[in-house]
Amino acid sequence: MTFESLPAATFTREQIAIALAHSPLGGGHLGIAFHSAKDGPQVTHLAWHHQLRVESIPAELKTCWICTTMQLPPAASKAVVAVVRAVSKKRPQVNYGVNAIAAKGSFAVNGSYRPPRGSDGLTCATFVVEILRAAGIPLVKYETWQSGPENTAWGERVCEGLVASRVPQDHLDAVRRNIGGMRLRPFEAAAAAMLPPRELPADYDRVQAPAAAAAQALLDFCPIETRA
Amino acid sequence: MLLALDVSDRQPLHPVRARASRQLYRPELELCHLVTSLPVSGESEWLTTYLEGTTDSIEDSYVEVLIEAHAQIVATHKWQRLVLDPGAPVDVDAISETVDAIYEVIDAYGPAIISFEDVRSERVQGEHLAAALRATSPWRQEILGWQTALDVARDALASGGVDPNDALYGLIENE
Repeated sequence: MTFESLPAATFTREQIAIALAHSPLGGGHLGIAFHSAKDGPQVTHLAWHHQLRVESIPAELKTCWICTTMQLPPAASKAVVAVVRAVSKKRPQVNYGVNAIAAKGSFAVNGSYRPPRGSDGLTCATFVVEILRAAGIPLVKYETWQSGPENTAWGERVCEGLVASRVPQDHLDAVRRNIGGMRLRPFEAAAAAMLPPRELPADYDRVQAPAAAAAQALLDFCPIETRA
Repeated sequence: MLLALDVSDRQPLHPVRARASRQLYRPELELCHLVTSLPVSGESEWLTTYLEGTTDSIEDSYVEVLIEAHAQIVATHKWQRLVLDPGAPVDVDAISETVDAIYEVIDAYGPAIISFEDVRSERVQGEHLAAALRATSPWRQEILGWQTALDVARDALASGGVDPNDALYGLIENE
């Protein structure tokens, strides 16, 4: 499956698409596109701390997005759309945090966001992963993910942003404690979503090449100079 | 379970005399069974009649429990409506209705309110049951009959011409 411009996306009412945009933090930004029951196509994404957005496509899009349709079996895909719709309707207040492992199961309670003990919140990428987990779709094998120095730099940028956003000190402290941990990059999550269902959950090595292709596709469709 | 024997004297605002009440109504099961078992069509109506007709003859707290039980039955009916209808539509909006109702009932009463113990393949719509199982999969260990309902869903899906491996993707591979 390839990427296409989100406003021109071809995913049906019974499918979801994984959407990518540029991020001020670097490394891309991730969301889930779906058709709402009555309001047409929308994209839901965790923009930042307590900023879960649900934007109509294309009217409310604030930046250039691309997407790839997730190739789930049709009968399962309908139920996944239903779960995405339910979470989007609730528009929960989601903390922004970097500990992906501790966030497992964040949407395990009736479509509401209930961070598990030890979780400092979600990123845009782990937000997508956890919604899919709530829908019974395991996207990635976290146990295969690798840490790296670039994750530490990214974590520092997250903390700087949280300071600027004046989040509560205890939340900032919790995020700081987790800097340097594993990071699921949006491009990696998008790459996993592009894989055939039989290859899910995806491991780290399997998604690296398609993740690079996803990053390039974003640059092709949405050159840095033209992003909002 | 409290079953009304006769609803012909339904008088919501006029208490029934104790003697008449005993003749008209009789307890058959514990309330805990009432709220966890699959409701049979019409039961909630019978229960409503009992509540309205005998509030002078039972303790107020008992009435509150009955009202709560009634609310749980209504919520249970809602999520089961399409699951227990073999002819239910299976478009994404209908599937969303089942998932929304499941989240709604769990939101109100917790996952233990859900039970798949009594589902039978010939009485369910396979895709709706699969969606219900998917929505409740985070609590698969806590919900009565969740694992066995997978087999029921398999049979119902196959009978309906839907590949069970497709509809149950992600659920059966995680077992």
